[in-house]
Amino acid sequence: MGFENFVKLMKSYFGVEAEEYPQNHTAKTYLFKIKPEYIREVAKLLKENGFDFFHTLAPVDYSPKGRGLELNYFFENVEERIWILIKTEIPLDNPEIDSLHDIYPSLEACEREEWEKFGIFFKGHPRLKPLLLDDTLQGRWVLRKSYIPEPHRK
Amino acid sequence: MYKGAQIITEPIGKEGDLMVLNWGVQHPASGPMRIKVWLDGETIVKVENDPGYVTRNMEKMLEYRTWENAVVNVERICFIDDLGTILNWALAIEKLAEVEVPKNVEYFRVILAEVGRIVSHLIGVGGMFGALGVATPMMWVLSLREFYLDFLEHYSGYRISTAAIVPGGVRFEPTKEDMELLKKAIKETEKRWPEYKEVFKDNPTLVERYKGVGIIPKELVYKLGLRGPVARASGVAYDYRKTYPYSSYEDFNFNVVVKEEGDAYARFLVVLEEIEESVKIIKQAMEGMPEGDKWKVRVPKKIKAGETFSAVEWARGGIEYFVVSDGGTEPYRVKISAPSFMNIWALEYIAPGHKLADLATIFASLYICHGDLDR
Repeated sequence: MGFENFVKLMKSYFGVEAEEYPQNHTAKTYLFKIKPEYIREVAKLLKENGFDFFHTLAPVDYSPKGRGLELNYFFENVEERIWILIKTEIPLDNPEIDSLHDIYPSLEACEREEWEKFGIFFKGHPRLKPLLLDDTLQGRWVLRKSYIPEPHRK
Repeated sequence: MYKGAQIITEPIGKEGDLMVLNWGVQHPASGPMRIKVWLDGETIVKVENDPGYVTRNMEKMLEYRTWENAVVNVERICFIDDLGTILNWALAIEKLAEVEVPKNVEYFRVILAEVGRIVSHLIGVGGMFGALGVATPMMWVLSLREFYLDFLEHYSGYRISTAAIVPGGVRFEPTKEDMELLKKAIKETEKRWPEYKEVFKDNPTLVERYKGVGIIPKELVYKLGLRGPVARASGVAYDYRKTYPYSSYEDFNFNVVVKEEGDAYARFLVVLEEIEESVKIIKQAMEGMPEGDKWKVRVPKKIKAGETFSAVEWARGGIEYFVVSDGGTEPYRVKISAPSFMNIWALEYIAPGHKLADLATIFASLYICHGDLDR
């Protein structure tokens, strides 16, 4: 129910079709590729249609391949056992995207971690401050491909 | 610094009428983690987590390891139950490389994963007593854990950090002596368990401190994406082994332990009772082990470009990997989504209103491992 409604709304609002995503071998997953500026609207739609469990946020730095930062958001509708993967891409020279911490509070810590490691600035996030890394690594964006750990070894 | 960064020098001592206290890093129950507590008298007003004392930046390290070498890193996410994390790694790589493992390997992996869960849950039960300063139960569970470690040592050569599961199969063929040791461990568990359960379950010290403390309502589980025993103690029957079976878990008959209360005592009971279910699974897997003499399938050194998502139910909850390959001998990117990293944030919601002394019990009942919290 919730899933069908969501697919219909995504098509009429953003003109995006659901694609099958067989790479998730845990559960049945559908992939939507959206523009980064729509992320908040899509998250609100997800929440309204029963996708109330957020799993993980996985950014990938594709800059050596001539692309930007790809963000992968995994959501689940626990009742229908359907997963949704939202893929969006932001440029590396201006890595900004809206924060979803108020829609999905579980994303707050995840966004904070990815800000610290990738330098993705989540607009509207209430506490973008160091979480896991040592002070010497702050601002180096350690998970970007441009960061080479060798010279920094002690 | 990048814009948006706010480095705040945090005052410790007094803030208005409130006292600010560092609970941890040196607290006996905290582990390597600081929890900043604002206190009004003895009552907690606000709590802020400050993890990061054992960060290794595992996700970056994995980009410099080959697919099989990475097992050694992945199992160190948390050494107490290392087998679940390697199992997930093996499943992810097999999916990427499109390799299928024989049924006997799947069954033996189930045995290993459940041994890992028992080993971890025994320490978890002991640790929840340890937070009260009661040391004897810890000694009891450690003595029982030895039997399982003997099995792991005989099979793989190591008691912890076994690297027993590899992409494409298991490290060695299990011998008759290995299975004898496992049978001995199961027999010993069944012999001791009635006494353990009697002493642990209705222990007056534990019940007094754990019951009705740190209640996590069902809505908070969804709100914060809580996983594993923490979610199941709040009435959410979410278990990857049952919900999305992998590695032949659908062949086994076991229950998902669910409690409705959501307090610290319910979380303790879930961990305690899951040990029994794991013993049940191991017995079934040993009995029904399919015939087969192939224990490792070849996985190519270079894996074709692609991405995959994989999740298993680990001792502390669902652990999830998002793995990207660009066709090389090493991963292009690995995202590790760990249960403790999600579960710890419940503390900021549930601790306020309790007495400072309850912080130790609430924290212990969340069943956090700092290794997978920080990675």
